[in-house]
Amino acid sequence: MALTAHPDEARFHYHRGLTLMRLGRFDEAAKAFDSTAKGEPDRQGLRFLQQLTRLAAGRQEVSTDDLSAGEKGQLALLKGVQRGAGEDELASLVEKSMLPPEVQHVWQLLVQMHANSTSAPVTRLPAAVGEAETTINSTVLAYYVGVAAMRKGDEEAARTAWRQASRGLSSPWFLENRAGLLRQAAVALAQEERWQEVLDLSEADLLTDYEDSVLNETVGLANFHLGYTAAEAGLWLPALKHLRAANRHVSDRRLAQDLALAEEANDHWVNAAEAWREMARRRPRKSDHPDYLTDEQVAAIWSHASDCYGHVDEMGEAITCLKNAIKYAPDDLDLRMKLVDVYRYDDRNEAAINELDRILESHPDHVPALMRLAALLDENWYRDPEPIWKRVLRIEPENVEARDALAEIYIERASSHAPNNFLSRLTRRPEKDRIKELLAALEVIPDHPRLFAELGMAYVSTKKMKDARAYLRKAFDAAGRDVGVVGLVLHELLHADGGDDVKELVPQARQFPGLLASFWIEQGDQVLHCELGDEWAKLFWDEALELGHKRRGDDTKAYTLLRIYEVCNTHGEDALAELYEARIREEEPRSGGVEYVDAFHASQSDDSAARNKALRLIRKAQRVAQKAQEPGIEEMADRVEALFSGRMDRVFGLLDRFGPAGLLDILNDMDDEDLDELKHLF
Amino acid sequence: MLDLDHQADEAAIKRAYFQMVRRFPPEREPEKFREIRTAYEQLNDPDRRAVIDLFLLQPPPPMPNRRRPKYDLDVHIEDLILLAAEAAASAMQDDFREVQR
Repeated sequence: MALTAHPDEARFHYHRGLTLMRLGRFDEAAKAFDSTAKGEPDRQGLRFLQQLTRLAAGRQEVSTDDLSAGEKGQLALLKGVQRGAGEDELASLVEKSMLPPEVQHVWQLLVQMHANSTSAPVTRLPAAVGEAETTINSTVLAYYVGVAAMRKGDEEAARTAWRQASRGLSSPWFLENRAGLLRQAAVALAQEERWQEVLDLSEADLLTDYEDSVLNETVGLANFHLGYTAAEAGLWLPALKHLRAANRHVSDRRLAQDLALAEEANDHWVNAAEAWREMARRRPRKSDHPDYLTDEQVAAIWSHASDCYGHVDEMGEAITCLKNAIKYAPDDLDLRMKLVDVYRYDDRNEAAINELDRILESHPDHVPALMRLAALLDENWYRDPEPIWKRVLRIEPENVEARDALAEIYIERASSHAPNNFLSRLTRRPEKDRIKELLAALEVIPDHPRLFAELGMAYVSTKKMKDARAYLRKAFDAAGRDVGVVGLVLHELLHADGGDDVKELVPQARQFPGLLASFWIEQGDQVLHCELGDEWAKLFWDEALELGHKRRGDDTKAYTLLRIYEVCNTHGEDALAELYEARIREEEPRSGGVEYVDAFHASQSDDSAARNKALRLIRKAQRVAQKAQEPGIEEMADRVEALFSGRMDRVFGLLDRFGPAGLLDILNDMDDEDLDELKHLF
Repeated sequence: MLDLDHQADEAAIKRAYFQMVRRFPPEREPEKFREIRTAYEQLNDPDRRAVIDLFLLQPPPPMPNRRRPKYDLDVHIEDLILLAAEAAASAMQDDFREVQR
């Protein structure tokens, strides 16, 4: 840059010449010194440097008249070395060089080493160099100290000396020697599996890139081993660091695999996916290669890459990877079903349906595909799913999902005939059609509990109670573990004058595993709703209290009593409410239920004093319930407390102003922060 | 599932399988047995095993043998010339100090 700005500046040419000499580019150095001479012909030492560069570049020398005696002496010595003079002659030339004694000593040792390839002055040379340091300070000397050490077999001393030399020397033999020495040291450590020391070696020698392929490979292998060891120990972060470093130096399928696993372990899912894809892309294509991958393996890699993208919702990439996987395993139905599921997850329902249609073209009896298709059609109203569900049942007659789905379709279809106006009720034609449809449905899906229950309800509508009871009992027997059907049957039997049936079936329903008190509370609630008689509500609630007594989950006796009490109040059944209130007070006085009931009574008044009292009482109910380990009652009290303390006012204000539909719109427009605040109200 | 090293051979897989079946017989632990059986079938099938191995850590290869490098331990004339030049040039460090003045 300096020469570009000042092309005629002699000292810039001069220093450029020196630099070129150090790089071993003697011919260019000679030209640089010639340019210097044009501007500063009398520059001290220039003539000597010109002679030296000409000697090194094999150029014709110029006149030596301008040289000093010492410079002539050195030139003669160098010419002697160049023409291969013997050790004695060279020693004589050194003496005649008129160099300072300490420098002569250095030259003597160097010419000895040149003349005799076994000469290795490992002690004398460093000492001589030290003595001559103030006069001559050159990285060349550090290099030959290392050469002497190498001739003696002291590789460690050579490494130290050459490390020093690397700060200024870049001759090809030096660079080769240095790389070779490092390579040897690294390989020796690697063969002893001292992997960290291999890495420390390269750092100590200030290597930042490894042009030596063996050294490159060794450092890569060291990182690979360290990464693998860390990964096996579950230390995935250091493992990743080492495996990434290894990947910069080594190309190996096992490394690519471990690196991908390490990226996954560190939740770098996109990096992991790309590593897997890279592994698939760079795999060897020849089947006799040790790292060859079968089509099945390639498909598995692409599928796995898809999973990685799925972790971060990159569904477009996930789909691309799955399609690639399918190219390698077109008959793998699990893979194709996975693609369908990914399409569905990404709301690409048409694409999912198309893929399912393709699967079913070649595998028409593939039940999972049929079921997915039917469910999709059902959700999205593209086509009628009924034929698909029927196909499933032809292959698997007991398929529960297909049976239930078809039952829903037929029930809905039959319900469209249910009486909905005065005339239709008068004629009863629609009910007959409904029954006919349901009976036809039973031909397709025999013994379906929901169909039996619907038939029972249809016969109740037509007042054919005997038939109604018969079908309802069939529904009960076919219900299996369907608690919903059981509850429906017990209720509808009461509509069908089936009180005796209910009494007979309740003990059987009791045996259902996992039945909670809320089931029976709900039954009682429905009895009151339909005004079927208090005695039935009490029958069901006795069952609830029996379960509460057993303390299953949050279902305690006190909690059950309180919920029943609330149901009674909801229906305005004051007598019943009093009955259960009395039971709470007598049987569970320290549950928090008493305070809850008192709070309810206080809240019936409009004045603010009563409202405050209600608030105090409900807070007491919270504390008592917590102390009594009644989580159900505590939760009920929490909700009421929120209401009494006015935190719900905002929501009710909105409800009052905008109505339910308007409130729903507002809720849909709320951002996460608003929703969090709203949640606190509950 | 079978508590095996990922380089286990066929004999080791079989041994591990039978050991697990003795611990979780089908009549007592049907669910667990099914899992064990599935794992065994996957490992026993070379193609399926090859797929499983794709997603397990793979040990790195050992260090291959390398020949000892050859060193050039001659004294080169170019280095001696450079030495002489550096000695001569070391008296010329004043160039840039002149500039600063």
